[in-house]
Amino acid sequence: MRICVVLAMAALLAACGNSGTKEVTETRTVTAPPPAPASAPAPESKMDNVPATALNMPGMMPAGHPPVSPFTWTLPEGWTEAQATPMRLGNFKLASNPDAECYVTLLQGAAGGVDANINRWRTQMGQPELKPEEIAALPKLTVLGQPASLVEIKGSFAGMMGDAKPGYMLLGVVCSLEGQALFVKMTGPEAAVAAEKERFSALCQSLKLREAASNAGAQENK
Amino acid sequence: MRALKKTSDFIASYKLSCILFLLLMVLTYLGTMNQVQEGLYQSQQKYFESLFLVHWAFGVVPIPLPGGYLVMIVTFINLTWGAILRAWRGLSHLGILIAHIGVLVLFAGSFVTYMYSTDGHMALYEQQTSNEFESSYEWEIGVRDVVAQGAATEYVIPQDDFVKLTGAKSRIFRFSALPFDLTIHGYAPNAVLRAAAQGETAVDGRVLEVRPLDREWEQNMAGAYATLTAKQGDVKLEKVLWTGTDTPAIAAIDGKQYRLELRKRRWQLPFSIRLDKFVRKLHPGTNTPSEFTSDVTKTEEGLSQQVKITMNEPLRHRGYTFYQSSWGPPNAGPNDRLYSVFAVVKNPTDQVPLYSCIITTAGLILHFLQKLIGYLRKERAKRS
Repeated sequence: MRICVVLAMAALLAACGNSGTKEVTETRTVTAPPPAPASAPAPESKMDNVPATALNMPGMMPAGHPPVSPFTWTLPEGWTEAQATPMRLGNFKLASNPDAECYVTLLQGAAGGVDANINRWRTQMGQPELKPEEIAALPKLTVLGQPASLVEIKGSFAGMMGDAKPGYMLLGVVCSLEGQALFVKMTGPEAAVAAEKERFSALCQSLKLREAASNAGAQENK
Repeated sequence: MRALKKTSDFIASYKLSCILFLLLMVLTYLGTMNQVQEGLYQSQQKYFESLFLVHWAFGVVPIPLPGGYLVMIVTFINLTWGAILRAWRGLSHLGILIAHIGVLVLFAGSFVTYMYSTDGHMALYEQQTSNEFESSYEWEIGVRDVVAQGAATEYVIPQDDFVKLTGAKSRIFRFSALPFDLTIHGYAPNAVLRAAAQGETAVDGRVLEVRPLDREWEQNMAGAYATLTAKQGDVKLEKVLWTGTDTPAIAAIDGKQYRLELRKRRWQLPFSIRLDKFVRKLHPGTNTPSEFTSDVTKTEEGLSQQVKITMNEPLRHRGYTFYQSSWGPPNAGPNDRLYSVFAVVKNPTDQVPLYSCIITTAGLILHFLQKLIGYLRKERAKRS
């Protein structure tokens, strides 16, 4: 009987959940990398349901290392390729201005849709949202054989995590692929980004599907 | 007194043993079948690491069941009490007693494994070094001040402390050396961070949209809201934490920046591992690997040792075992850089199943020998 009572109490405790206040005592010593810049832009969205054929399982990759991009591109003159990250298939820096950056992201699904993402970028730049007809009227680029809206927004840039940066400019392309959404985004001081507009367009138009040799992929062998 | 004896007899009874073993069999079957719908991790949690559960037969009929954790505890009590009450019947039953002890050792070892073992993975490119490994399933929240360089002390909130803070549930976390308290709420084991619609309560213009759990647990992206409340003054900052980002949330309090990160649980090793070389051999004419091997250098307190880790030859050191688990990227081309993935396990009782088997086998051999000798003696007595 006592055991039953103990078990019942255990079950009740388990059901209670964790609420109230807790003093955090677990610590670890970490060697800090340089702090993330306050304006570092957040990734576009979630890598949900990422198939192994497109991207790696994010949790199984070496820290800070990227999946192999399913795309290739021609690097514009004057740009350098920075190390890709798990969220950025392509990560570019401009030699002319260290504050400007450009990156390529691929997400599964519609990732909220083209219009919502364009308006999210506008919100990031402190600009009002566009109506669907205004978005439809945006200039187009041919990216991976499809028309994609080219977005140009000037304003005060605020990434998800950081302080606002006035006098910034955002160039962006959202491309709806079959079951995936591709983003190319460039941010930086207005003059630097405006000067790179042609090269940004050239980068977007140079994107091609990579001819990756089929590979069996990671094999569980434990 | 009679009721007590009855209870005691029931707890030690073979009847209860049979019920428990049947329940274990049922749970094993249901848990295994459930993996088709909910995947390995969620099925383990639901059927084997729980006290109680509700199984939905055919998706419509709810059947309440005791969880594997509870059944194992009761089985341990049943076996122990049975051994105490019944097993000591003189030296003639010594073998059975030893076999019981062997099984109890296995149960105790499994309990220690469940409570104190850690397992995860470490993925390295050639020439990359690491002294920590990461859980494949669990999350944690790391909180520390932003420092330009050098070492920093990071507070770690393990998943168990916030996993139930879904919806409006919240919990306040205090840090002795930080100037704020942290309230976590709105935790979702799988969520997407999206721009807020008009009228939605948003943090930095974004909201976490809760998604159904993915069958493959590794694909879930957890998220939570965090409120930083300064210990002095009225500063209150809202941040959103999400594992889909590689950028931590940054908050400034009293002129100092702090970073908060929701990420996979990490454990530090008392030594470091560098991947020197990774070799993948394929079966001729196929893309199926026949062998993959990692040459690593283990460094501890300035002393380095080169070790080869291959499919059935793990590296064991200081209680940690490194298995060659997999490699990637899965879609790598012929000239792409590959990385090697090690499954890392720290289990203080990893040898207990072996000891348990030895004890149980010895007990059964002794028992059968005793029976055989008894039989032979009887036969001899009959003949004479």
